[in-house]
Amino acid sequence: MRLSHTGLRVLKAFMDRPGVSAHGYDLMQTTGVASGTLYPLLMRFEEAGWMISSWENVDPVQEGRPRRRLYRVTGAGQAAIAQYMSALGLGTAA
Amino acid sequence: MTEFIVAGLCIFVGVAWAEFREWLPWLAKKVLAQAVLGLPTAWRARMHEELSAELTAVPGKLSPLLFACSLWWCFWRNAILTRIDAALSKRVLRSVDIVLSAVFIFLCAPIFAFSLVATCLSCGRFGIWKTTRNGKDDVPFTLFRFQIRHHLTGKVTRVGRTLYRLSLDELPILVNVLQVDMSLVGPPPTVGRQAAGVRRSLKPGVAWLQSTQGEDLGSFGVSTLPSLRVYFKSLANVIHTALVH
Repeated sequence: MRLSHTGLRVLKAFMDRPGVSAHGYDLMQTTGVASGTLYPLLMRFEEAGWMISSWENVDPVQEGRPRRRLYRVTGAGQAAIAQYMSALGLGTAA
Repeated sequence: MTEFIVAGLCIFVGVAWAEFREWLPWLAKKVLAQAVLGLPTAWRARMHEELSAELTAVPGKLSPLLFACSLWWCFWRNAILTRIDAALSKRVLRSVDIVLSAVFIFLCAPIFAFSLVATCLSCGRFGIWKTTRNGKDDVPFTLFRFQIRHHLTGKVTRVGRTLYRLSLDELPILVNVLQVDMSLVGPPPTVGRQAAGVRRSLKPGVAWLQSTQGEDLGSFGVSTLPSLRVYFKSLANVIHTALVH
């Protein structure tokens, strides 16, 4: 899978906070990547097996809002990202 | 009278704006529903639910609408660009196929003519062997090759053996390439059984990379630049192999 500069920015945000799940809007705020670019990117990462996503474990009625989709980097994803970033001479926090 | 009209107008604009503000969340949801239609079918339902939740995270009343509009613009722009790129890639690959196969046929014309005459004489019949193979979408087509066996005994002739060893028996496939049935680059044509996955949607070809050779073969015929990269890498691979052996 080939990575764009934007893709790397999103992955870097995950690598800077290892083990933390994030939803799309949160990532948009952190990385500054436009919504229309971010969501297809997340789905491609998921298809590549670099990320997994799951619905937030909350009661929408109690919370007063719909449940969000949370993204997390997989072990395979971390290895691939670290390899990719080291090849580009970028350090990772993981 | 004028003051009365201005006051009425101000009240109307105020009420209309207040009403419009109330309609904004509804409008944002409608725009979002239209935006996800720009995504691949498999993604739509999930993305609609996911983005509906994200919409509630955006503060204000106008901002969610702008968020939905930006999604609409990006998803539809990507969808249209992807379709243009796919159409362009097919035309570019076909053009390269026509040009290269015509050049190869022109350059190999003397070898072609000599091989044809030699095959006709050694096999005792017309030297082109026609067989049926499965092409794109499993549509059968006639594949041309030089005859390497004698038509009565079924034994491989000396000329046939030489042509086979030099891979020259496959030279008539260039005619298949010119005839639209095949491409210079694509998965090998199948016999009888159905091709699976991405291979089924591609024209069979003469040269094809292995998935282990570092190229995203799934993008072949879908996106122009990756397709051209796979195309020329496959051709270079075949030429290199032919020269080495």
